[in-house]
Amino acid sequence: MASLFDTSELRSFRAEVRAFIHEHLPAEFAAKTRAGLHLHRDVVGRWQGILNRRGWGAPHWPLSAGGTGWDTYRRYIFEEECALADAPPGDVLGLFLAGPMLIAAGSEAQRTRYLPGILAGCEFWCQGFSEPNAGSDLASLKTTARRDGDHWVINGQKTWLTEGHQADLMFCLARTDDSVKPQAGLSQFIVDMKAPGISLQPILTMDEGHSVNAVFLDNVRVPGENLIGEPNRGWTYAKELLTRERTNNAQAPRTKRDIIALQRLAEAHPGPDGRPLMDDPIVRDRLAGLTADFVALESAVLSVLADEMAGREPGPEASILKIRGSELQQRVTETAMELLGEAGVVLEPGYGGGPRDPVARGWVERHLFRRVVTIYAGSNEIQRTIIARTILGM
Amino acid sequence: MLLDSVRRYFRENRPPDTRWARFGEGQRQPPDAWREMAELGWLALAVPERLGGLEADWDTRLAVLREAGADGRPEPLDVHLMLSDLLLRCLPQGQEEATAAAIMAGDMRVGVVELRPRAGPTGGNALGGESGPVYGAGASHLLVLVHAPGRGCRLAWTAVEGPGLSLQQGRFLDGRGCLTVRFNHCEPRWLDASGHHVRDLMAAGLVADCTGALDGAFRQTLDYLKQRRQFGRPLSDFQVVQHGMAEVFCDLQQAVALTRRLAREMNAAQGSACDSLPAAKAFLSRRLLRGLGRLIQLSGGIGMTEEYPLAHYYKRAQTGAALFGDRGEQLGRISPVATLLGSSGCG
Repeated sequence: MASLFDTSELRSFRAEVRAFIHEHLPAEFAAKTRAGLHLHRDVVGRWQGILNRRGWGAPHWPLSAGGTGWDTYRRYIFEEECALADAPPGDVLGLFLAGPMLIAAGSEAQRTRYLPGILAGCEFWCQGFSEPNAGSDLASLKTTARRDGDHWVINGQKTWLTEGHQADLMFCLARTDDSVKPQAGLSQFIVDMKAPGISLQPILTMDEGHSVNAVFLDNVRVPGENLIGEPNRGWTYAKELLTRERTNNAQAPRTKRDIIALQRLAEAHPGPDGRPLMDDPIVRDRLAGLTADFVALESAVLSVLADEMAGREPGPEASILKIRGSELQQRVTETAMELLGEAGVVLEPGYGGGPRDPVARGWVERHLFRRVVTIYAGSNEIQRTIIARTILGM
Repeated sequence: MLLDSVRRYFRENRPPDTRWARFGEGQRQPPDAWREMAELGWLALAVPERLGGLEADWDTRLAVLREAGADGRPEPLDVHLMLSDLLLRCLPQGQEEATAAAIMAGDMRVGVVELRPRAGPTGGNALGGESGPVYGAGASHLLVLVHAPGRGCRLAWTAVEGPGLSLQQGRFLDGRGCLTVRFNHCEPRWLDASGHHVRDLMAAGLVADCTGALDGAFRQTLDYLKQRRQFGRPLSDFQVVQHGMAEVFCDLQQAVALTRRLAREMNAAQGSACDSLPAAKAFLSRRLLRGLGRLIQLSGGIGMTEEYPLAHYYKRAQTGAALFGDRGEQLGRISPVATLLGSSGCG
């Protein structure tokens, strides 16, 4: 069967990437990626450093900022090979959010200071957007930044900071002008997570993991040069950033890897009659249905990536990827839980100990945590509103 | 009146938020709760009157289990309310009274466990191999459902502390305690009843329990959506949220109706599992879980956290869906014509 990627150039490129990963990816990193959701920054950072030394640190960045100059297919093949090899995923907050925002809106000094740390995997970021009373309604946020000489002073509370406890820096959305409409008075700042006045509080999620946090900012002083772009344009930068995030939220290569793993699970795991689950035509039908839906998702992702490579920023169509990609991620692990049966509901005795049966490890945690993928980065309800208003003019 | 007292007890004794706030330490049963439930007479509900019990009908038993699910109780009320009378019927006459008294006093606690073909009898009547999870935390005695190729599902009875058993502690996904058992030439008492029948009774109990879980989660979410304001108004004002809740409400009402139907059919069949059980358990595995997932979605990030009840209800239903016949197995039992015309022969 002919494949979209089946040209001699792309085959050769894929072989090169695969060989590099095979040679350089430590087996323990792959094992940790398979087994868990929330990787320690040491694992993510060390793998990022390995890729960066090869010149592959941020394939989606412009060449001038440290990107690779690859076309859409090469970029996708690279992501796919990393996913299939269970390489640690890149740090989304730095590589996909902070980095591109600084490239688009940051000062030259900010790019010089912060991009190398992201590329090398030695500086990690978190996102200070949501607040307890500003989730979907982000523009209503209450955190303030007031000018004080050559500094800004930030006060407020942020929540849902993914990997905030591992981050060195936060890009933080704060209100700098409350005399204008809510969206118009916001600015973005780079905040050092070790600055006096910052305190973190862990939030445990239903997968028994710690990946998100609340953060309290009490008179946190931020140097004036840490303002990103222009004052009161933070909402515009945030919207662009969230759109980029949605493209990445589709997580197509990782979902492809999961569907393949699902088939392997069905081939190895016996049903109640002792025969492999894959012998059951209903199971085969389920997996084929997931695969068909994945191919549709992948096609849409490649289309948006092609636009991006042509210099067009992703628009509201990124919402389609977010909706379909996140729903498919949930369906994949829901199917895994059904295949696992009892093995999916028996855990080790200690909190956070994970499933007792090795075959269920990783699946159960992913299944539970993935309830969030249709909520974060703008809930799917918000995405549908964006599509209806912006694309359909309703 | 009984249900009022059940609700009152649950409300006044360690409500779910106090237990889930300490979820990281394990969803343990408060040490005195089982004794209190015995004193309230709940453990006598499934014991025949001739043995001093209350011999409650199935409507009552499943209604109590719905309340237990809505409260996320860690105590295994379902095992006792679904199986006590069956167990007592199977025991030799001389043991009935003492066993009934021990069950009603809370001194004997029953767990249910399945042994699969690859871990089946080691030969003769002894048991060998590793079991699935024991459902019924804190069990002192086990009903063992022994699946053996060509021999159906047989039922055995043994004390947890008896010879030939070694135990390993674990947890279910929702935090309730469970054991896995390694049988090593364990010689149980073989009971004259079908293991399939016990399985179906447990499945019916789980349908009621998980319907209660959805009910509890639904009420929690409805309150939250009326209070939580975004874009200057309560979330419950938004049409997409209203439609989402209406959809889950349809699932909930169907689940409640299915539970009531199960009870009526079981009353009519004098405790046998009933025609609609496979459909009800399959419904639990699909629609109830989907409904709970939707409630988390509508609540947003808070629904994902351990400190909030929704995740715990979701995990309870996920556990219920996997045990005593998952969706695939239940769907495989459904013959449309036989089910719709009322003689699927289940149980």
